[in-house]
Amino acid sequence: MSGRRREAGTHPLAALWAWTAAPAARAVGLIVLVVAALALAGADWLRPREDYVGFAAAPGFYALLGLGAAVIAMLAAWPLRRSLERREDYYGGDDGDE
Amino acid sequence: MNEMIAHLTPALPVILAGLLAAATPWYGLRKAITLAGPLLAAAMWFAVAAPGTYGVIEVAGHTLETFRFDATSRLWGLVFIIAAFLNALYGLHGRSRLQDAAALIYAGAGVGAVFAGDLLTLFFFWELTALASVFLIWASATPSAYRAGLRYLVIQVLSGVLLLTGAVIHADAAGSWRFDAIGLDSPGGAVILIAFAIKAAFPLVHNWMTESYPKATPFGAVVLSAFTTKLAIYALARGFAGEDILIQIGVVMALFPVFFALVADDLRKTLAYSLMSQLGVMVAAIGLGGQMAIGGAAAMAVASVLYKGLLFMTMGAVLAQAGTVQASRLGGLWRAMPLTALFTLAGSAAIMAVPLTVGFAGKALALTAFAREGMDLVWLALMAASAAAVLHTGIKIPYMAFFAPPREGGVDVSKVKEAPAGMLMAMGLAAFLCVYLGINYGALYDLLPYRATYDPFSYGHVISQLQVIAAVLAAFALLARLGLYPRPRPGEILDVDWLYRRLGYGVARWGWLMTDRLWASMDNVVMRLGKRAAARLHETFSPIGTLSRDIPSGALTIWTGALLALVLIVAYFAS
Repeated sequence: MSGRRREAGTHPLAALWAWTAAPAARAVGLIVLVVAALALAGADWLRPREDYVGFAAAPGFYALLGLGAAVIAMLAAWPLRRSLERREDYYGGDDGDE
Repeated sequence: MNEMIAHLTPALPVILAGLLAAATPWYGLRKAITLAGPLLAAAMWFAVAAPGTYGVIEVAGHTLETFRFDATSRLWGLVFIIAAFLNALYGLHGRSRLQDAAALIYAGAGVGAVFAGDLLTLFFFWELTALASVFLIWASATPSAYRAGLRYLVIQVLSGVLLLTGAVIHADAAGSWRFDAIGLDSPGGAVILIAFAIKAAFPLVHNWMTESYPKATPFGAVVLSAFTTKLAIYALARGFAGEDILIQIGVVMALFPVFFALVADDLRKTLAYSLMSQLGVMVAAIGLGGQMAIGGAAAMAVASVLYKGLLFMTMGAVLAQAGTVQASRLGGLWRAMPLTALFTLAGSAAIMAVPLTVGFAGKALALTAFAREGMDLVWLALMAASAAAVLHTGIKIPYMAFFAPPREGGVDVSKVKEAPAGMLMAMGLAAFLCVYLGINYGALYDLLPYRATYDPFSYGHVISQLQVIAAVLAAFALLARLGLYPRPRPGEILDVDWLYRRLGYGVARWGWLMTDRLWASMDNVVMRLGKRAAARLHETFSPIGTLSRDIPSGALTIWTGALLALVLIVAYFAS
């Protein structure tokens, strides 16, 4: 944004985050995150950890825990939302609320 | 003089500032009062020379301890005072005298409750928190906020009534009103636990929080998030540490809200569910008991006041500036609110327990306590809940509000302005504390009820936490790319409150209608019987009735004779 006129309504400090709107940001971000996750998980094989919980000392355990928790939460949310979701004014909103 | 001031509870200047604020129409003076109250309370906190019980007063034969300054209460007291100051700073731009006053009285009541040395004083401040805080919901001035406030008030007052009932039973059995370890051995203890459970938002009694926080004003939600639940955590830590049942409840509490936080469209509702999940970890740690676990719960409570308060502040700023916090209508706000986005990321980093943030230092203690005790399954469940928190709060809040592409028909980012200076200052200060206490974690650990000798920055702990966070971030990015992330959309997600807002209300309404009809039917029957009786009486006794008719003398003679015979028979047998 520097050197160009700022778009209407854009804060002067928005330049701090302008990179997030770059066309390639999402694809690059995905690659960076996956590589970082793999690299951090791989660190367990280079330098083994100690842990109070026996099975947690296994290499890559925490990466699997994070991955599993996130994937289960996201995938389980679909059927749960389908069964529990109602229209926005289900309780009547400002006019009713029962 | 100094000694006398040092012996007064720090709640006093905060509550007095609230009362003064209520009576002060001048904006500048009122704001100065709202800032001065917490600062004076902080000065009183630092003026206490040694732990002890101060501010002892006699009321109606009871000894009330209004200022017990010990290892547990001093931490919560200080955190509440800091939160009261941050809230006052955050509300600097606000013009509502009612909210200024309610916020201070509520905060003062919270401070008073944690310094209460006996159950009667605790009850007084417990109820005051309920009565003062409801105005922060009602200040939204919408019909739904009014009804949510009513439900909130009913359940909060019920909690107070249960506390008093339990306290009376407990005091009768124990012979003292002192508020120390209570336990579940006596019926009084069980009743008090229910009272604490309501305020701590245990599962099934949690909806007062998830319903009312999103309905409160932007400023109100920030204030509400700091005190009530953390006061309950303090009360549980003091009264029920080591009670096994709290471990099971805590685990359910940590896992149950994950789904709701993930799919909620209202980002303040997401924060409310996220708060409940974190409270679950604290409750479980209290149930485990022991120095490390209680220390961990206390550290998490401090961290939660800071980072959850910060996130409620940032979402309050979004609500105030963009007019909504519905994820389905937000996105791209980094252009208009870059500083708010920065502070949101600081709060998110803390809640994700990124190393060098207060969340990392706090969570480490609590979870390691379970690992050390060999409670592997509980530890695993709490770790999974913590990993899910990275997803439903750490990623969702900043992404949906600031970095997701703007939604079609959503908020027009070009018309949104950055938050006012007061809000930014409060958010900046809270963000600074989140980082400062993460780096200088010794300052936090030194304040804990028990001196913690734990080093959270061991290689194993740092790398394992980074692995969890990176894996969740990668999973989110991947599943979002594949369209498998459940993007929030407008709608109501049914929760336990359905039982009373829909089913209970329906049953009550049906019962009312049935009773109404029954009364109407009974009324008809009574009216019909009355009319019939009146007609009969009229037929018999009126001037045109039976008794007024001409009766033949023969028939009259027979009736007279029969009656005489009856009298003679009765007289014979009676004699």
